[in-house]
Amino acid sequence: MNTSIIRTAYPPSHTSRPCSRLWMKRIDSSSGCTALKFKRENESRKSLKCVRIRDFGAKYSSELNGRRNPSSSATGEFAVADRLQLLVSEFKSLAEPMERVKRLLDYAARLPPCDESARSPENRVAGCATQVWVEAEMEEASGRMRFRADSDSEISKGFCSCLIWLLDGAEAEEVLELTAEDFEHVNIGLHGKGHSRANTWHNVLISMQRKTRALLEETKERRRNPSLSEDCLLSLSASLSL
Amino acid sequence: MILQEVNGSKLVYLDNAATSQKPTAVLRAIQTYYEAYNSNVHRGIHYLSAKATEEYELARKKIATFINASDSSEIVFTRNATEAINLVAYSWGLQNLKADDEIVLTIAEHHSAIVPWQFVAQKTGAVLKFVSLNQDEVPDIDMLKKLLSTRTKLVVVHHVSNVLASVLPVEDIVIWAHDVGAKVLVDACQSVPHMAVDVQNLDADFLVASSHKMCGPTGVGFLYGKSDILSSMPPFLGGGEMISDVFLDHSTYAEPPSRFEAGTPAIGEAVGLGAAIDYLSAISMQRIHDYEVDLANYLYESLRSVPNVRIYGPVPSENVRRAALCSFNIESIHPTDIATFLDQQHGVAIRSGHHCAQPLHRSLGISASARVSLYLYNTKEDVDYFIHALNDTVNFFNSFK
Repeated sequence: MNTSIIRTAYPPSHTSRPCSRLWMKRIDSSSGCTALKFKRENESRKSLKCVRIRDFGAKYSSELNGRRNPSSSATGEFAVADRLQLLVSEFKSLAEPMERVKRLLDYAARLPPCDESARSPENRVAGCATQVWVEAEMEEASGRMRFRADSDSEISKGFCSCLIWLLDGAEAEEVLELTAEDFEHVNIGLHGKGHSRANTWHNVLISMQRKTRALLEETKERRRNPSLSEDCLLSLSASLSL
Repeated sequence: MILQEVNGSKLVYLDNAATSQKPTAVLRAIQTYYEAYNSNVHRGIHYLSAKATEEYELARKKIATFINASDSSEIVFTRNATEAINLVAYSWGLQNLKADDEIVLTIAEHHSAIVPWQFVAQKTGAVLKFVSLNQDEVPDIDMLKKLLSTRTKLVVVHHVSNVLASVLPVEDIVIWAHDVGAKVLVDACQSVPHMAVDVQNLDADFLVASSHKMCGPTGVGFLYGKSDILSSMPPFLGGGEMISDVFLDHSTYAEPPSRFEAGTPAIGEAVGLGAAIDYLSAISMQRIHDYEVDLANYLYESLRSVPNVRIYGPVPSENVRRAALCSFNIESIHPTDIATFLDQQHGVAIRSGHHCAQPLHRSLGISASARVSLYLYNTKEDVDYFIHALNDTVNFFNSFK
């Protein structure tokens, strides 16, 4: 168990990351990354993040890949704002609502599988018509956010998949800056921007932001009070993420 | 409204258990009120006020006649059935219930028929007892009978279930409840719009319904209560209209129904509800009911033919009638995904979720279901279109696996 990572409810099996092995296979086949990158993944989480995010793009959509901001791939910098633009323009370009549903189902299929333990009550996203679970952790070294999500509905999985593509590896501040309005044009099945239970985008985003805020507070608390026990931090985090 | 298009397809509206569409006569009645005689009721001397009061009270009378109440003073206008149940809970409940008194409900009740009684139980120490489903997936009437005792003070039951489509034998339940000295509150939201309901025949103590499910506007509903019971109840909301005299340290209260109608009511909406009742009565509730029984069977048989479908509630037969609605699931496809696809690809409006019946869903072992619910303006063609669209939906999601 890696004790340097501050985390919310994570099952021990998460660190073995079956998901990442799946990604690595795709990296090797689809984008022609070398075996060197595979080794680097095992040595440093930061490299994994960089590699994974670049190839997240390759995995997700050839269209998105084609339109990717050249500056972000050159420097390896993660730019949520750029990704949001890509996501919005991709969905806007799909004029027919059914095309958007199909694209979401595509993304749903690419969402890394989560094991059953992720489907816990504290991970449940409140207010959704379907069941959605979100896990969050913050990498201590970089302060960047990592997310995983799951749902019993394929369309909700598609939403989660897009949000994770957008925010997995982002800085905490970038996660918190997003608003529901940013996703106005990406919505499916809800005509308009209502605050109803059917608005999964909104609810999952709120959940991710709440957990991010909690982890940020925990980090600040830890810096103020290095002697605080792990249990205290976890309960602080739990109370802030409610 | 029904003739519009949604996502390029004709709208097929099959979510009537959630709310109904309104005939033009109702829309006209509301518009006429606001255009021609909009004025506050019961207070003014002038012509407009007199006219508004007359129409408002006429609407009350229409409701009384519609459900065969013995007097229109037994009809209290509320915002909806939920508010009506809360009225009974906060007024009658808090006054009459004490620790260890029992309230019997079924596990299939709507949240609005459960939650207010949880509040009352918390405040008074009364206990809620729930009737579970039997093997036919209807509330177990034998269990209900066994739960009744001298400790039972109230029985809260739906007439027609918004999920199971089952109909409870309310006349019998009332007889058994009265035998042990308990009162009965009937949630008639899914029955009053679809069949003739006679409160004197049922001998119910309280009955609630919402206008918006019966071709009337939103924002108005009613509580029926027997005169002697309403007369003994303290007020619910305080304010104008429900008082007799107001002093600084106390007030005296009006007689029912005014006692329970604080503030300016939804006058135009009440008039609209009256117009809805006129509309339905002109067709006749018996005709509507017979039409829907036929449609209900057609819906059930058609839906049963869809592969891997699971319909909740009783199987219809000679003795078992279902309402014209089906809650269902299809194996391996989330009901919300089904509803989204039906809406986006085919313009078919159904509902998905727990339908304000989480305890029921939990007891069925599911988190959500899809629900298709019909009304007098739906046809067999609508059902055919829905089934065709549903099959298309199933094929679509299966092809993605």
